[in-house]
Amino acid sequence: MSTGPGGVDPPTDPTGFAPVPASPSRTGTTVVLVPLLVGGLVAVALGVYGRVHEPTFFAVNIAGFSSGVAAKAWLASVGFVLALVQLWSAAVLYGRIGPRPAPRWTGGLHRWSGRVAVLATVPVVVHCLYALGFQDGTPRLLVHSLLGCVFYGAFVAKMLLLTRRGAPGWALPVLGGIVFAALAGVWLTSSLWFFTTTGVTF
Amino acid sequence: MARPTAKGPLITIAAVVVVGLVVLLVNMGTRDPSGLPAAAVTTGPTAADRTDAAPTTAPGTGEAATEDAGPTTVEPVTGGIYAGRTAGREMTIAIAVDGERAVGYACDGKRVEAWLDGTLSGDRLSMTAKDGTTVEGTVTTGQVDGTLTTGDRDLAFTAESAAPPSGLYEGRADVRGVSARIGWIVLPDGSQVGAGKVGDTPVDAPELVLDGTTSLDGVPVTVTPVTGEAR
Repeated sequence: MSTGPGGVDPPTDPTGFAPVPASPSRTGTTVVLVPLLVGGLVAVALGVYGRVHEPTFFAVNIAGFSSGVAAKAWLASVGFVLALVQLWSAAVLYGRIGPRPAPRWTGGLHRWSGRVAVLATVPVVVHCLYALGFQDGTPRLLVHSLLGCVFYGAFVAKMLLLTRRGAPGWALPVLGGIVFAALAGVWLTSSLWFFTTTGVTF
Repeated sequence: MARPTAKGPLITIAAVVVVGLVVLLVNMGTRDPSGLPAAAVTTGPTAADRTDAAPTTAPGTGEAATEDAGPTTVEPVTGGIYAGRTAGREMTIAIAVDGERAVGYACDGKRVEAWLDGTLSGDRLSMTAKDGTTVEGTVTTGQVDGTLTTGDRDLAFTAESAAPPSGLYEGRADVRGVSARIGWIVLPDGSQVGAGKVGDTPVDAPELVLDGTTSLDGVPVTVTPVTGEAR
């Protein structure tokens, strides 16, 4: 932020990503529009794939998971713990908690914990979509399926927004909040459900 | 620390896509050792189509499988199928309800198993097995709560609505002149539990695969999804 040219820019991007020069005609809200649209398309596409694709379910015993569903639950839990790191580091970056100004390393921590978190969820979601699909048989399954799609849509939207300049100040925290909330919901309806019904097994 | 460029987030997305594709390919590729294409089970109608068609077509598929000696794709069925575990995880149970008729299967994944038969009256479920095992339960939306009584144990259980391919499957085979019967429960989380008998001898259930290649001691097993309809 301290490197913001000339101080004329709206406050953006405390995560330290260099803003991309924007064309002057863009207003704040339209800058948000394209990432939101793309993110929405991603979410819908995942849901449609999960619904239309024939579940195979025997991927359960392969796919590199030695202990099947337990491995999924633990991978997702890694993602969720890192998401808590995300929430904390974002709050520090925005000056809500902790030292001010935020230590230089919090930006790096936020970026890398986020990358590792979302990558940890990838084997899980591939298994969910490929082997099980979008399901709505119970409220838990429906909420889990919906939030799973929302999570990746919001993730893509947030990443795209980071590359754009001139977005309104609320956009990044709101999208980040949606990403976090969706992942939390996904985790609660899967891993926590698994640990409480099956026990904490590896 | 080097300041990241604006490409950072795009690289993150690309990394996620690449890792996802690699994992997907690993998933599909690991099915190759059997000599079967990964798409073996995708030849049927789409999941959406099947939801409507399965209750009537699936039993037919099962009969066709009986007539054909070769591997046959089995269509998982939908309908009132519930699967779950007892509270202490002693037994896994699956229940298929069709109208007022209910059939079920319970097993411990090793040696104890019971095929159950019974009725649904209102929301009250009542089933019995030949060995005296009984199931009493209440069917609510998406769930069955009840008690499984086997031997002298009363085991409380909850079974969730099980969408295909989860559910209950029955396997039949002729092992060198002795008829074998195997039951599998596929839970909504994708895990499967099964048990079986060759004649009266308990055997471990082989791994259930839905593309028709399930085998027991090298003998092909005819697998049929179990619905509440008369068997």
